[in-house]
Amino acid sequence: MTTPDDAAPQPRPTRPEAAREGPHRHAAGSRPAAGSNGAAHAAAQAAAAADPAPHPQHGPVHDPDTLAVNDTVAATVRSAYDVLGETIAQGRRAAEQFRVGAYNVRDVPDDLRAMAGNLIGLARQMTSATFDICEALVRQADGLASPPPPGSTVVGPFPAPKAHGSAPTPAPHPAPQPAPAPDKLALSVVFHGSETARARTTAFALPARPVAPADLACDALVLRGSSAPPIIDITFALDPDAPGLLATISVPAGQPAGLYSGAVYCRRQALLVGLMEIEIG
Amino acid sequence: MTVEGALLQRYGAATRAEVARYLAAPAPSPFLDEMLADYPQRGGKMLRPAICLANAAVFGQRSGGEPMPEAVRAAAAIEMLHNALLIHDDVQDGSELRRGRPTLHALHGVPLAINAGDALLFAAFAPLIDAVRPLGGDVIRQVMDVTATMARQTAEGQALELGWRDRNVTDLAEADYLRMALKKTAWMGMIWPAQLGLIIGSRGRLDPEMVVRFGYFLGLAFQIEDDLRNLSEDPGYGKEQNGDLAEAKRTLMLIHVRRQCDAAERARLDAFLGLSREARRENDVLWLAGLMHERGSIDHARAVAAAMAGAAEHEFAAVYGALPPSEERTFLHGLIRWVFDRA
Repeated sequence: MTTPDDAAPQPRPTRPEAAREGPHRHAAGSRPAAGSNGAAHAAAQAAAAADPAPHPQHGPVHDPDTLAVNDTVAATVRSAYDVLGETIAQGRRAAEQFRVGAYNVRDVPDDLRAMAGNLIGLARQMTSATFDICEALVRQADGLASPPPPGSTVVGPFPAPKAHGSAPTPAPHPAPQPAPAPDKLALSVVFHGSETARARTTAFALPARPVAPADLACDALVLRGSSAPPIIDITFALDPDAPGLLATISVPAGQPAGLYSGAVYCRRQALLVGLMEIEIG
Repeated sequence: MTVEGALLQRYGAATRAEVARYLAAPAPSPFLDEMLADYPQRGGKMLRPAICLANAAVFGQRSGGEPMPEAVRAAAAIEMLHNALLIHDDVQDGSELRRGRPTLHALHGVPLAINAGDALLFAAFAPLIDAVRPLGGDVIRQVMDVTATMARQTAEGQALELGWRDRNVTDLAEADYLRMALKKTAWMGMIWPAQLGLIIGSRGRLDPEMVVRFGYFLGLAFQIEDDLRNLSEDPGYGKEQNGDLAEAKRTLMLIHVRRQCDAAERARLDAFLGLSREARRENDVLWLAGLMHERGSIDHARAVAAAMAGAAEHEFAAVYGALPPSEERTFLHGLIRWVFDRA
């Protein structure tokens, strides 16, 4: 102890209130919605546990789950996510402006490419859907000893992708997603076993060559830095309600909350098409 | 040598060879070509090219082998563009040393140095275009999009830093600093190289926004640690201790200490910041450095840098965590700790 015991206590330096704590700008969707301060606290905890700064270490490695998060530092991390979201949003708006303003005849090849991509996608989906229907019919036929009575064969609704300029049809989804870019494969996700799960991934990259849903494989969805069991039951099919894929994910009972992710591959083309990210809780 | 060090060395060698190839002039122009090659020949950490090459390998599923030729060209473009901006930065900051030697403008004068910077900037587009031309119109479009965004963000970041200093803006919040560091450091240094690697590796099939968050937090940790080192006894090769204070650079520590000051200290600090660099006295610089220690600004910045590294860990897991283990993935993950351990 370097301070004499009889020394008069010094008054603490006053900390005047800052005129401004921050720019008070917030951008929706800027930080991952993992709870109120999920990402900020996760980051602060990870930082405190890792403490990679070269200054002397204090004590043993901490357990991130039991660390008290420094609120000031957590607030800075939260602010950092806000800054990033705001910057990205500004960039998007600027890009949209430029795109609209700069449209001219030189863009025509891109339009043709986009139209061709849409046509190929349409043909691909129709072909796959046709095979699916045939398969369903064969399965039903196999299960019968004699021909079924007229009218008893059930065929699901034909997924008719909308072409540009076609007459509008009632949208099956209450809140339809914006049309995916021509190089994207739209994705809808259905969860079994969890009411709080939601998908962060909305599209995958479109493989160069046609691919059937069964050719897609997803790695087990894991919660990084946790011993939570992985989610392994993930299947892909054509979305019967909209152009694109439908993933069905079974979430085991009691699965811990958090952000789970896994790589999605196209088996035949040895191609990474994206990452499946879901949030639970 | 660590896995990360070996990879950095290999990537650095491949990038340097490609830069030299593009800068080799059959008939060197006087007062130009020699200057273009000067900064690239002085070496450098080659961090940016390595980020590009590692991302190309990871997202192109070509781990472990030689780097993709297209990605090496993109890496050369990144290194050339980085050096072009360094030439201009040195002029703007009035710096005297770069990588242990006199800056280009100190050697040849400001007009020739700016001209060389301009030429190197445009020369960088040759390897970039050569890199993406074989990959088709869509990939070219994506690469130009992310490059234009990077150019805009970088210019905005530099404008913020210079504007704050030249107009003596003092009422800054931490979020202002984070915004400046995102634009000035992270976008060009980490985000853009990762995006180029991702686009080239995946042949344009993956969304370049996937890697923005990891690059952002890595860049923030890097910048804050860089600012902290400037105040230490070992500020880095060719740098002067407390040089950022003498330049009145708006760092996280400066913003923090200004909020912790009492009225008299704040008045002295604002008066100090309002002086020209030549008029700032050594004893004031030392007073400010001491105040930052006393008021916990150094410790606060250390904690924030560590938290940004934690956020980078979080984002790394979300993007790269699900990919198969590889030397390149290990390298990218190792960058988080490298920010603090680098020599």
